[in-house]
Amino acid sequence: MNEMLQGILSWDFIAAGIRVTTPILLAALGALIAESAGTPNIALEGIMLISAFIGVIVSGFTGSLWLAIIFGVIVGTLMAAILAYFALKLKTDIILAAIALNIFASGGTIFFLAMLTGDKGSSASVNSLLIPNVTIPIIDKIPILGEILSGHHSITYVAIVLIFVVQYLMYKTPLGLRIRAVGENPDAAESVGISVVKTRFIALMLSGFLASLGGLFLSMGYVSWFARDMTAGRGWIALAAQALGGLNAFGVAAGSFLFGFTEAASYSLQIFDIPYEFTQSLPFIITIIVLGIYAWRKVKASGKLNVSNSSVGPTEK
Amino acid sequence: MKADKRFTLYRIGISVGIALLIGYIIVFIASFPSTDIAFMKKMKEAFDSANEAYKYFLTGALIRWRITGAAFNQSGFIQWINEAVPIIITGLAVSMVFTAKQFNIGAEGQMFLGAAVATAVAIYFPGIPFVSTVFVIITAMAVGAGFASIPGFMKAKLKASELVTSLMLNYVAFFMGLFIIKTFLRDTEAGSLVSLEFQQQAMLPLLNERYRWHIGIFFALGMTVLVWFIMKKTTWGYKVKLIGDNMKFAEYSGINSSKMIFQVQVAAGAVAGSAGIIELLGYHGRFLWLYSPGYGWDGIIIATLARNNPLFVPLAALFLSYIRVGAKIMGRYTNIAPEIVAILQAVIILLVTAEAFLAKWKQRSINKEATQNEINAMPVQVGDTK
Amino acid sequence: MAENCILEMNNIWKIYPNGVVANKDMNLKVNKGEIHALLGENGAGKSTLMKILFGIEQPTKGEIIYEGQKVDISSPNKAIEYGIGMVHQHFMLVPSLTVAENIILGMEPKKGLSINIDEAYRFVQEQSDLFGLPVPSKEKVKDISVGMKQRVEIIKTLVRGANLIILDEPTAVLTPQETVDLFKALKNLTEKGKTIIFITHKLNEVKEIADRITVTRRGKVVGTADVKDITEIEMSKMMVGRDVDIRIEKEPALTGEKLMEINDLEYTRADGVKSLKGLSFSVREGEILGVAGVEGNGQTELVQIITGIIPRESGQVILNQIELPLKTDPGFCRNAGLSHIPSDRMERGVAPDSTIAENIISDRFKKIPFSKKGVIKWKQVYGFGEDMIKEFDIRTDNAKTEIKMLSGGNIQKVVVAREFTAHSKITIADQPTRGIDIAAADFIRRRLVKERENNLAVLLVSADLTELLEVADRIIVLYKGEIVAHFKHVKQINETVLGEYMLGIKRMTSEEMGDL
Repeated sequence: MNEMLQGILSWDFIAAGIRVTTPILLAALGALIAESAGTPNIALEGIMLISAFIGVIVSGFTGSLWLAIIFGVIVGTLMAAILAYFALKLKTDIILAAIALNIFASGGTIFFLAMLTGDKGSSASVNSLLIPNVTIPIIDKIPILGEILSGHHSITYVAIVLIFVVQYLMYKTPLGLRIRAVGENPDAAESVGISVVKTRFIALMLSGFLASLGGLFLSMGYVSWFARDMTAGRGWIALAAQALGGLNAFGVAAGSFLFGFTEAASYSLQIFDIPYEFTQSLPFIITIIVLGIYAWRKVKASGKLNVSNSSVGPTEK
Repeated sequence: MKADKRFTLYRIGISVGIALLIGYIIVFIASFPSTDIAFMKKMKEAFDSANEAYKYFLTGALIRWRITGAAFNQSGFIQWINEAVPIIITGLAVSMVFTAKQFNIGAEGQMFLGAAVATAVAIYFPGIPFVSTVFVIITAMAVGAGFASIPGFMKAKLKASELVTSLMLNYVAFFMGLFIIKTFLRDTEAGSLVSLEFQQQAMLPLLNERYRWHIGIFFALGMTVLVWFIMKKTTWGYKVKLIGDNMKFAEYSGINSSKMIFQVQVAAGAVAGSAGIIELLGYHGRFLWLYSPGYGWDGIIIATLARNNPLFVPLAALFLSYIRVGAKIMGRYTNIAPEIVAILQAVIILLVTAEAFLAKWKQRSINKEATQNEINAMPVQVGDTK
Repeated sequence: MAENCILEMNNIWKIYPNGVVANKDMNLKVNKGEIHALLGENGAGKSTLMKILFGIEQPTKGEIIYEGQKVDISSPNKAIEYGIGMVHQHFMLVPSLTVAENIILGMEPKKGLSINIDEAYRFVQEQSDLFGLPVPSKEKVKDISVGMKQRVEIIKTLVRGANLIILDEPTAVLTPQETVDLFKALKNLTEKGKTIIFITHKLNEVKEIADRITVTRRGKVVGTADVKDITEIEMSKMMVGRDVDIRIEKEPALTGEKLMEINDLEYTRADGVKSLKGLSFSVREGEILGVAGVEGNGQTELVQIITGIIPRESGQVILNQIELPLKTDPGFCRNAGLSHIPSDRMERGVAPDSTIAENIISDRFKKIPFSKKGVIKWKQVYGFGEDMIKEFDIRTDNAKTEIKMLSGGNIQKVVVAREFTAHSKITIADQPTRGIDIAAADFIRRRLVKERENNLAVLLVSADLTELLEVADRIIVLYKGEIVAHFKHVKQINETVLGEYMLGIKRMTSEEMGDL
């Protein structure tokens, strides 16, 4: 027991937690923007996977880190744009369209991986690059604080900054106001000449952009390879984090950290003979329990037990 | 409206056509030779390769292409039918919950866990022909139902999103299932992680010994008729449809929507639970999945293609299975990875469910019908569509 | 185009994707500075015509000439650019944003990258002063009154430079006093050079406020006239094509025992507002009790409690001698002998993707002959559906038509067909004729009277005062959750008197009200 506690409260654990949280946080912020616009994006899992793949392929074949990042982000945003096109212009149900995209991502990345590298399992044969960590000068010299604040991955720093950026965007800028209006009452927005479709398009593309950063982190952050289905459910956990945090970036960040640290704990606990499967499913179980509690409290607060008044769940068209 | 239904068929046909075309283009690009020859020659080679690949893709399941001529591909045919079985069943399960507008996408987990637990029964339950089989299947269905009751309960009583909970539970089911196999049912003498063999008497009878064509297809078709009957002919199915159409209206009419939401998810879970074990009982004879086979996700595609109509589910499933087998065969004879089917699946789903796709064409044909009605003496609906 | 003419809509056709022909070769001419009423029963095409004018819908054929130029109004954006504004029947406001945020939405004043919120407040104040329409700019829209929301909507159009303002059934949710205020404001605007188009099916309002009218019926324009040259009866004749009997002859009520009793009913909403403060009244068999009141004074909660949709806070609800338990549901109330025509048929009264027959049997599908041992007898169901179509004059091909294909009036008839054949003892009719054509409304009112002749107890909640005065035997007035007036003899009252009680200007003592 003592050993377990020591394991959890060590610096290694906190660093691991932050590492695991980063992609979840990015995707969750994306989920927030999409949800605010009334167009929930459940294709984050697939977008992350595709961006992870693109990053590895581009950096492997061009040798350029920046090109990999740029292409990774462009393709991720493009995927979200395709989702938006089908859901907003061609009127596909946005959940089904997202499922289609996830299927495309899962199979398509393997297909193109095989086509380009001859290997279907992973990109081991490709010499892809690593996005570096960042050491903040001066701060890293401060005892204790320096170790905590400096030395994290560059994308992690970006993610933290993005928490504030997203909150500012949503609540202080015209675009944020419009996104919220479109999500809450699209007719109202339309009536003042705001293009609901255009606004939702932007919201979805922003969510794709954020998710793609998360994907790049997965395949180029601490490891430099792509493997089939390497996102392993993070896109879904991000949705759960957003469901918990609501439409507030800080709430969503809190949810993301909670899940990130839970998953990191599942790695640490492996050393102590707790079955791998149990620890791996722990984040998902915790998510369900927390969601259940959250929903239960909402029900108690509203005082109504009519299921038809449910507001938690996929937004209807 | 007749124009409506006819149009839906056209749209499905066109969507499939476009998907096949996109697939062809991808195969063409993948077949583009990198050797040092003239461009036009490259084009011709690519075309030839692509055509060859597509020949296997579109016909490989049924036809064995030999130098001496074409022959019926018996193993391909049997594989086609066998592989359709689990996805017919998950398609039925998903069509039930989708009719109620419940986005419970837990079919994958229900199927996997149902199969894992039923494996224990298949191994240890005394081997009595038919009785064992039935017991194994019932176990799987009970597990599926029980597992589906969690998101069902959470949605019915707590109003928690069944989409998120069922999704999370898929992963939990996967890990739980693997754990059960690994810890209690593992065949330690086998090379990879598989369970012990099933009792011979529990296995499904075979229609063809050599290629293991099992009677699971009849089970699947029987399930189709059963689900169709339940959904279209019973008061329970009527309630399910009403809940999905307008839940407030259903409640106002005196239907207990919480109960129905729970029941339909559990019922669908029972159906989904049987999807996996059927294949194991028919073909493999033991539990051997290292990662989740994806039948639950296929079920979603199939239910969508079938527009949630149980009678169309087998058709959609056979279609999907056909192109999958074709893709595998194509993969064997060419260097095109079978995962290309995933790309086609995505395109088909996107186009088939796109209400606005080809809408203008639909509009024009309906206009014609409307003006025709104007001329007729029958009173016609005029006015704002409030 | 004449000198004075600001708008011409010529030969407008609109056919919807589901085949419904909403506008058939419609023509409209509006002069600058006038208040032009667009009159017609619901379903007559006037709403669609205005949606086309405001760019929400596109005409299948036809042209629009605005201020002398042929224009293509492809979206509300474009309409706003041209100077056309629209105030919708269902307000287009974002509840969790403030009044100011709603008004500046889409034209936000900026300070760098963010919204200059102080400038927004200042601007809204300036505009509301300019047009004489005061609004609370810092309050959230979800917290303000209906009349105030409408003002916000009008200001929204004005600040975007609207010279032609379309109002869609603006008085549907206002009290008589608020209506007077609105008309004053509109006259004010026309004096400042604005042009108003006013959609309505209330003949008396047309007489009061409009300069010219255009009458529509079944998707066509049937006539245009100067208001001073035409009478109310002539207007209705144009709208329906026959003499509309606005008077319903009925025998005085022969009342029996109390079928519904409400005692000290109280309810507090989730937002803390106490919407029912100790309501007590009863409804006897053989009578129609009308409930008058501006929307938002407790009627909605009252109906929802009686019909089992929400649980009451305290007090008693007794239906047919059966007391409703605290935790109740619509099924329980139906079993107690209640039927309910809901105020929003699309929200609660029908399943749009299901057929007419499926909708009509939704409360009785478990009973013979519609099902036996859990299996539905579809033949019986559709046979019954056909019978109902005939009896209730539902205009459709057959009972297999999906509800969403029908017009509003026909949908309401499906609802009524179900509720009136439910073998109930008590009927709650909540805005039963809202948003439907005159012929259907007439049918439904007469049917209500017939039901009371069959010894039902009917509770009629309606915002249409004329309807209440025609149909009800007794009327109570709800104001802020209390009964403030009771009229035992409906023949004695008129709309204005009722309006005073509805607005809380007057209040009866309990002696004056007598036995409720």
